[in-house]
Amino acid sequence: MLKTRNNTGISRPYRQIPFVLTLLLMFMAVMFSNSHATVLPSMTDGQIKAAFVSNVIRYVTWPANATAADNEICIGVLGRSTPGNAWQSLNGRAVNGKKLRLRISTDIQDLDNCQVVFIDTSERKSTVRAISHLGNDPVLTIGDSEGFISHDGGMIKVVSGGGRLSFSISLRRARNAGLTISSHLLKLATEVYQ
Amino acid sequence: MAYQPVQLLTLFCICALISGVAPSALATEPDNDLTAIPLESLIDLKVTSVSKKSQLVNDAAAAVFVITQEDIRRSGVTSIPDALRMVPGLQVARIDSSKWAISARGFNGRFANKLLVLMDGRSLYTPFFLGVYWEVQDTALEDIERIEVIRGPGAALWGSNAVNGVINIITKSANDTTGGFISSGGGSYEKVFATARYSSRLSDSTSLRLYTKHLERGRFSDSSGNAANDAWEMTRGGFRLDSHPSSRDTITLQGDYYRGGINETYRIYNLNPTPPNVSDIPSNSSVSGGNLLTRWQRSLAGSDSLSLQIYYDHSERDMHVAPQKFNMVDMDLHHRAGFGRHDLIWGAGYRYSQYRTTNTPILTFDRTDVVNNLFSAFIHDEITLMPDTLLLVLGSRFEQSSVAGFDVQPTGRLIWKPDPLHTFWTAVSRAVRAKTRGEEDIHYFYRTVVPAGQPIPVTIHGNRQFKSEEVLSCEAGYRTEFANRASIDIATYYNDYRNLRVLSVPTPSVTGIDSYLVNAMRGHSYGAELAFDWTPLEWLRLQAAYSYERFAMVLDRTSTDAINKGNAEGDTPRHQFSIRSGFNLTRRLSLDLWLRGTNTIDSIDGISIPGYTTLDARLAWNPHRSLELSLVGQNLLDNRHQEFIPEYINTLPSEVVRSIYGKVTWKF
Repeated sequence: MLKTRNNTGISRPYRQIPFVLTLLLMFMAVMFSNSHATVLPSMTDGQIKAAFVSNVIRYVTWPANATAADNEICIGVLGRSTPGNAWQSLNGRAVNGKKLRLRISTDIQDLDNCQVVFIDTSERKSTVRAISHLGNDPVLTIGDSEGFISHDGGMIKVVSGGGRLSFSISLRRARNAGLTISSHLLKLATEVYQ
Repeated sequence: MAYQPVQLLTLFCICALISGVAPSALATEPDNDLTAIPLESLIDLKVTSVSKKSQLVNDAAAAVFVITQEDIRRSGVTSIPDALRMVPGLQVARIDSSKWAISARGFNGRFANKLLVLMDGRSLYTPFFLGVYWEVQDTALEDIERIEVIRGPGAALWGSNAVNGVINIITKSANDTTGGFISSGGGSYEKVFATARYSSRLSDSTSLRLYTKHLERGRFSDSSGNAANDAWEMTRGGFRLDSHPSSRDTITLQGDYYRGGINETYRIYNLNPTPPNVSDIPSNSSVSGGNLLTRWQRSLAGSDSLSLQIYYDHSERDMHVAPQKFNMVDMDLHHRAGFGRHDLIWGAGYRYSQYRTTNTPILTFDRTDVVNNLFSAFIHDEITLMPDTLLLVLGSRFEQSSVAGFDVQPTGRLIWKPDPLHTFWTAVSRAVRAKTRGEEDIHYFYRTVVPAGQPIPVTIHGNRQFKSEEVLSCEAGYRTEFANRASIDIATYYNDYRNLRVLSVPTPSVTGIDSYLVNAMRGHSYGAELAFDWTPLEWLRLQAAYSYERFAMVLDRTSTDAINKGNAEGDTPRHQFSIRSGFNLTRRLSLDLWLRGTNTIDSIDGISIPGYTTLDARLAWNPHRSLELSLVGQNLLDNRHQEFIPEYINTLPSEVVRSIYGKVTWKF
């Protein structure tokens, strides 16, 4: 049995033909095709969070009196402003036909009148104070500190790392603030607290 | 007949390509608009091991499985190797309390030499004994972000020895771990374990994490139910510093040190005129090692980037039959540049590795102090044939090693996504398992036989003409997602191996059997792997895996080594399965059950090992957000079962025992 197999084995040069042929065809395909790459950019953690926050706006409805009259949405970032950080790149972009206006400050009072407030881990000591300052105002609070929902009373907690992001939502707090969150966003959440 | 799958795959590639050559629309150049990135693509699981850049699992043209931090935590495993049991296409078996045999797509053994393993970009493969010493590979399991497992050749990117797979263990950035935790516990087999970690933000842009871990593991059982001599302990500590000195630079500096003691029993043969010609020597082997790694990454315009990584790794092992010390310095540079429809990554590397052994009466080497210089370069191009629909990957690695010589390891991959929920991929690759100096130099007194009243030695000798082993692999796979959070991943392969290592006895003698390592076996394997993941209800998740593998080997005229042929064909179970179910019983209480099993291992060194089915269970309670209490039972379905036996190095195997442990984790 073994001997037969041994003798019917295809000789070495022939065995590589399928491989060489495939590579050759692949090269030819490249030569003749004409399209441009749409590559997924590799992003920093800050960029992923900024991209997430600007995206979430699409899935949240604010009560009529909460949005600024001039078709703008203000995103407030409670944290330190470093030059060239990812948040800055959001300023002036349009989402759902509304222009994004960005404010960065370590003082929550500077962020009054913003519809979204992102609280950076670096400010976690003042998180509880910031959220109680906002009270039941129609402001979507997003944060990345460990107990952002369970302890601090925030609405959306994000966890990111290695180009990946997950988030949980406290639906009750969003409702209390008069915000409506679309079911699509709830479906993508890791956890939804009622 | 055996080559038909190759031809079928080629045909598949041709058809897929013909459809790809059709004219396609011009896509606009991507700019830096973060608001334009779809939410789904931020959330999806990403992998870096397939193309050395972050990409969606669904976009990878390879058989990929990702073990997440949640998978590790909820499975209740206490070691990295045991976490790998949930991956389809991997064979994981315990030889004794401290030794694992782990491979992908067959050829398993303690020194399984066709699987490359990395932790944060650092190679864990020991070129000295060709394999991974799994017992010393560990970290704070809570700080592992994910483990990426790729079955099939990864050599075009990662280099030699990634013949049947690549495992990349990735720890979290220090920027992503804030505060500290202490976790500790113990039980019947896990005698005592404790981990402490603290992470702090040194400045706005810099974070430092420190950890230390100690564990003491108990004994497994011998075949008659008595405790085996295989208890062990290990202590380790380490740090990771991550810094963003500017918005486009990331610098990582990390290091670990470990030290441990392992009880094991060596089976040593002798040539005494009166039997017994074998004695079992209990031994306590001390192991230690450390590493230091630094990586600098800079993002350039668009998605272009530049990365430089340098590391040093030292390990030593006071092993009864072969005390050894090992040093390695590795430098790796790579550059990613996109232009037109190309997304190109290229790189170059240099590795200095040196090992020193001490000859013993059992195991000697002609050269006991060996240096290897390895120069390598790779190129990897992803070409968009049709935007978002058809992608071609061409790549190759070129290596020049002072031991193994020059090798080219190319790959061609094609990925077709007719719509965002369905992905088809296929690949053809060549990979090499690089030969080592030891395979030229070894003289190993392996066994004593008594053919005619007089004991004579069986000795394994190296061979200066020994060559690297090779594979030509064809793969194809399909992934899909269903609406209500279910996904299926199917991968199939056909591997054609050449120059496989077996033994040959050129001149039989009455005074001793001298066998030599030769490249005298070839053959093929094929198989299929299935992964299924479903979250039917908010509080229930089901994850299942199944693998099927077949092997057929042929010896050429110079060898009659039925044992090693039998190992290659028979050391992998034909069927393996794993079913995990996770229940969130209440907000504070969760239950996880993990049923898994394999069928018979037909032959390892002529011995057959029956299959087994076993169950792990974990119950966890979070009375407070910073406190978790858990109770874990492992291998619950039988008192004990054997999973594997050692090959080459003769230590006594033992059987896995049923065990239970409790654990407390406190975060602050």
